[in-house]
Formats: sequence, C-alpha cells, structure tokens
Amino acid sequence: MDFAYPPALAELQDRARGLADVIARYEQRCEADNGLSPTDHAEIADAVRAARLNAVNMPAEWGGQGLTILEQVVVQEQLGRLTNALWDTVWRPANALRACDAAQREQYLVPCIQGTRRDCYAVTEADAGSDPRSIRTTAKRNGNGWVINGEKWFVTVGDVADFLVTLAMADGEPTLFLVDKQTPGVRVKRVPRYMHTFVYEHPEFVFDNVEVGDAQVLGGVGQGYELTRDWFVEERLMIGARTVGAAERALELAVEWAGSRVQFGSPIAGYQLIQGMLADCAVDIATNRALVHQVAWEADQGLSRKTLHGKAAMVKLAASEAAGRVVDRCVQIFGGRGYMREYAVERLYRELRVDRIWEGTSEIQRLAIANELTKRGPAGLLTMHRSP
Amino acid sequence: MASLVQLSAEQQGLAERARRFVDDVLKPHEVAAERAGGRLPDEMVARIRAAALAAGLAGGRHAVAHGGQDWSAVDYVVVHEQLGRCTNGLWWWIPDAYNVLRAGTPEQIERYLVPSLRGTAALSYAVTEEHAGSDPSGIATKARRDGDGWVIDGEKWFVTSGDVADAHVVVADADGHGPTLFIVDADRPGVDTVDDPPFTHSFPHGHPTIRFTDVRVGADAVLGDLGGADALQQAWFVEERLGIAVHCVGAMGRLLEEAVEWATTREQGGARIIDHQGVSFPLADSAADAAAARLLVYEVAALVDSGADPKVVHAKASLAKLFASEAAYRCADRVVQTFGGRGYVRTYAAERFLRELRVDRIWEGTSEIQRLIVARALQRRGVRTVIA
Repeated sequence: MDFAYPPALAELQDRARGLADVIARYEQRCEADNGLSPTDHAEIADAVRAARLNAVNMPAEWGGQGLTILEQVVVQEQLGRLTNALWDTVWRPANALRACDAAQREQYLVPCIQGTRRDCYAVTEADAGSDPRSIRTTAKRNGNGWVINGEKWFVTVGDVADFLVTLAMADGEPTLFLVDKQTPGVRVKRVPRYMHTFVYEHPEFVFDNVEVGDAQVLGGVGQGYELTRDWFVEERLMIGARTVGAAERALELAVEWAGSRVQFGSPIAGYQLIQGMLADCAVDIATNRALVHQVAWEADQGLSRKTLHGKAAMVKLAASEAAGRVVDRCVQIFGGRGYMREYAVERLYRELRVDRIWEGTSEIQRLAIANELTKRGPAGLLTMHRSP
Repeated sequence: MASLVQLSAEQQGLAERARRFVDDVLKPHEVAAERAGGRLPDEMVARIRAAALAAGLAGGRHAVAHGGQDWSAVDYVVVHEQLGRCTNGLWWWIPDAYNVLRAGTPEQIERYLVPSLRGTAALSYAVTEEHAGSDPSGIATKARRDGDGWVIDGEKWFVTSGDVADAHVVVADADGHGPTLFIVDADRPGVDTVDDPPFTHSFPHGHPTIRFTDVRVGADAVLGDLGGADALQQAWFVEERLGIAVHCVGAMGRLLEEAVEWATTREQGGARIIDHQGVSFPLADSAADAAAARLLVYEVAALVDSGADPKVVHAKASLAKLFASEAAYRCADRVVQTFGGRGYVRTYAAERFLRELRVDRIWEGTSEIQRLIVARALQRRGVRTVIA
C-alpha cells in the first residue's frame, strides 16, 4: 500500500498550483468589479492553455488532457484554493458532452475543449430542485424536430456560455438538448445576486417555443437522467477536492495570522480557544483529503456505478461540511478582518456555503448514502478495495 | 401558567408599535437596501426617520428631555426584538445615540445628543485599532496636552457610521490619565478616512478606517471624566450586547416563520419538504434555541432594571450575547439549507440574515471574549450567580 504521489502526479500538482497562483492575482479585482474584463479572461485562458490544464476531464484524442479521476482531483484541489470561483475559469466541459455524436463533437465538444466555446448546464427549475424528476420543461415533437418550453434556474456560466445543455421532458422522456443561446425564444429572465461574488453569473433562462432539430438531441431521447447522474458523480468528487483545497488555504492564512497577531501580550495562537479551532481545522482537512483521494482512486479502478454514486455522496457531504466548519473558524480567528471582503477568508466563507447546497444539498447526499446502506449494506461504502 | 416574561399592557403596546413599524416601514426597503449595498437614498432615509419619530421609537433609552423615550432595559429589548426581525440593519436608521453621550455636559448634549435623537446628526464610535481588537487596553491612539486642549493622534478601525458621522467618539490614551473619550468633529483638520472597505453584510453605513493626525480639540471635547473611558464603555458594552442578543432573538423568529412557511408549501419528491425529517428537525432545534435565548435576554434586561450588581449584569449580558448570537447563526445556517438554492440568493431574507448574523459573533466582543468573561465570572461570582 503506497500513499505517496509518484513523480508525474507531483508534477501535475505543482503545475496546477502554479496556475492557481497566477489566477489568484485576479481575485481582488473580481471581487471589486463582480467579474473580470474580457482582457483578464483572455489572459487567464492563455495561462490555462500554457499549463495544459484545459478540459482535464476530456479524452486526449479530442484535445482534452485525458486525466484520470484521481489526477483531476489533484488538479481541482489546487484550483479550489482560488476565491471568487476562479477555478471555473479553468474550463472543464460537462461530461455529458462525451455523449456527442461525431457532428455534435465537432460543433460543440471540440471547441469547448479548446476554450473557444463554452457550455452550461440547465437542469434546475423553480419547482424542481432536490427532486429533478419534477421538471416541467417540455420538448414536443414537431415534424423532424422539437419545440422546447420551460424555465431554468441557477444556470451557472449562463452569462458567457454559447449553448445550454438543457434537460427537458421529450414527450414524457427525460432528454438533454444542445440549445444554442442565439436560438429564437431563448432569453435571460433574471440575473439574481448571490451570497458569493462568482466570476460568472447564474441567470434564469426562459425557453419560449424554442425550435431545435433532432441533431440537437444529446445521447438519445430518454437518456437525460442517466447522463445527468454521471455528471453529478464527477462534480461531487470535484467539489470534494476543491473544498479541501479551499479549507487548506483558509487554515494556512489563519495559522499565519494567529501566529503574528498579538493581543493581551502574546500571539493569539497561544490561547487554547484558538488552538482548538486550528487543530479541529487540520483534522477536518486531513481526513477529507484522504477520503477524496481514496474514492477518486477507486473510481479509476472501476467501482460499480451504484457504489460510486454512494461514495461520491459521502465525499461531497463530508468535505463540503468540513470546509464550511473550517472557514467559519478561520473567519472567527481573523475577528473583524474576517468580515472584510478584501481578506480571502471572508470570500472563501461566502463561497463555500453553496458547496453544501448545489449538486445535491447535504440532505440529499445523506439520502443517497442511507439508500445505499439500506439497499446493499455498509460493506460497499466502507470496505477498503483489495488488489487482486 | 403565566409566562415568565411578564410584559405590562404598555410594553405589549410598545411591542405592537415596533412590530408594525418593522412590517410597514422597514421591511419594504430590505431588497432595495440589499441592491444598493446597504445604503438607501436620502429621501427614503428621511421618510424612515420621520416615521420613527412619529412612532415614538427614536432615542430609546435616552431621557425624554433630550428627545428619547426613557425606556427601561426591558422596554428596550421589547422594541429591539421586533427590530431584529428586519434585515440589512434597517433599524439603524431609527434616530438614536450611544449611551455614553449621557455623560456629556449640557453643551455636549445640546450639540451632539439632541440632534442625533432628532435624526439630524450622526455620531460614530471609534475604539478598535489595527493592533487593538479583543484587547482594547492595547490602543495606541494618544491625546497629549496642548494648552487648554488636546492633540489627538492615532488610527481607528471599524468605525461604524464613520463615513457619515458629524462627529466621532474617540477613545484615546490621555497624558497622565489613561483611556479617555473625546468627541471629535469630523470636519476637524487632520481627520481623514483612510479606507472604506466592503464587508460581508450590506449595512446602512460603512465601517471605515479613520486616521486622526495631530487633531487639535478643546477641553470641551472630553466626554465624561479624564481617564473615564473604561467605566463608560463597560455600561455601553452591556447595552450593546443586550441589543445584539435581542436582535438575534428577533432574527430567529423571522427566520423560523419564513422557513416554516416555505417548508410547508414547497413540495419535492411528492411531499411537502417539512414532512421530511431532515428538513423539520433542524427547525425544531432552532425553535428550542430561540425560546431559550428569548428567556435569557429578557431575564438579563430585568436584572438591569432591578439595579443588580453591574459586574453580575456584565457577565450575564455576555452569556446572553454568546448564546443568542451563536444560536441565531445556527438558525440562519439551517434556514438557508431549508431554502436550498434560494437560500443563497440575496433577495431572500435567509441569505441576508446568514451574512448579517455572522458579525454578531464577532463585534462588541467575539464569542471567545464572551467565554472569557463568563469563565471569569464563574470563578469570581460563583456558578449560582451566573446561571440562576
């Protein structure tokens, strides 16, 4: 059993850290201006390409980096250090796009891998959040194509995306459609403000008699839930990785501050209340880092789909809740400064809150875990993998 | 059985008046205030202030002769429990003034206190410094003798309302006397705003950093006794901590009302979400928190009115502030979770409360400082005194 990073993985980690350090220079500006200029985005995109970290999740044959899940976790952990969700400037196309046919691949996936087009994922609706089966967006058969009607909420990156991977009930069957944003009938309804200052927006979209051809169906009629579930598994692992990275940065800052801040004649790191908080943070980070790595490695070994689903839920629940605790303590250690937006801990605090909500709330992860436990027993989720 | 909290008919009327004021005058401005980063247009503020004066809510605990209401501590918490129900600190627009102003000379009262209670002037309180937060004895701001007057030199952080104040109440170490309060007009030469940083919440006023460079003031700028800052501030802290605690109680009431309304109407997976224990039990825990915090705060207020030992009152106010602010934050965190993605959107009260309540665990003494005060009281005053 070997827990060490082999040289190639260490090199990847260094490369991701190097990219994160470059992108971190844009944090303050992004916070102050609620986003970045096209020039900033172009500079970052160049840095992403130079670091060879574009489309880490896509096969090399299509131009992606073809990284394993474990390698992706190593990258995402470093990018998770960034505030203002700047990790999302390091584009990673929705994995459902692997289901593109040859023509769709040229038109949608390859440009997304190269970074010349951008996708976004439109699933959630006003009345369909934790329960995606209650979506009301419909696609009705119309000659050789479809007519889409409905409304989608929380469409992350919807402001800059070129097309929306849209979940709709196609004559009763859950189906993903590739909908170009320029298609008549697609419009932005609202761009709400959120707790975090995210580098992109999460607008609400209306689909008003949007006509698309059969060529826009992704992965076949009726495949919408299946493809979305795969996305959830990947995304939940990556949230686990990013929240570990974010928590570690918060703790680094808090340790540095607690060691230098003097009150009542000594550094506050000398007080037990502060020491307790720091120690609990270290435990939260170390345990979750190990878990994320373990499950990512297992995913690469080929776990059963259902077990992987349960394990990804454990990772997302544990790591996002732990990061929430860590950053709350770090804000507390910074005192009044922890409430100032120019401090990274303040931004991480606002940003990490949503990791307990999106891609399945903590409550939904608990249901998935309990479901797996009661259906197939605890062994699948808890037993360590054995080499043949 | 009658409630332990016995309010007179007059106090019940006061609570009702405050509730109507919050519902009719303040709450309608919440979303506009959030969109404007906390600041409302002058004409709106003028209307709120006039309405507060008409409603008999201005000046709270100050004497009627000065434009106040001469409220007891219980009256004060009765009103502020209602005020805590609104977000964005909108109650901050109600004309009032720090209680240290009561120590003013007749001239100071006429010049600073009376207009503050009329809503035509504003004062800030400048205590904290870069290196003196939890430990105010470490302040470096000096006041040195200059003929009849004083020359003040130093920098103050987190000066709430410092951006709009007509004068600042400044704590400075006066030659040979120790910490002393000075009232420094904001337009004095040498008073400069160094920074006006953005914070987690969207509050009516800023909390700028203000630099006092060799600011000359007359002998009439001294507030209270030379060397009297600590004694005056002790009473101020008790009132502020009680105020924070009762705002937190009010906030929990509003949060739970909003959460229960949402959870009983929102359906996912074929049932109201409140029918899922994962949703309803956290709300039950917060109901217990809210009920306990409410009793505690009213008890401390009644102790203040009974003329109890100020040291015991001081410890009890810390107990109330610690418990209520931590409980309210837990409550907001749970209610954000109840609202899911909506809980992360700024137009929802849950999102705003989460950001706003975070600072109640930091300002006017962090939770850690309150624990120190309570732990000391356990040793010096005895367990029974602290908890009975």
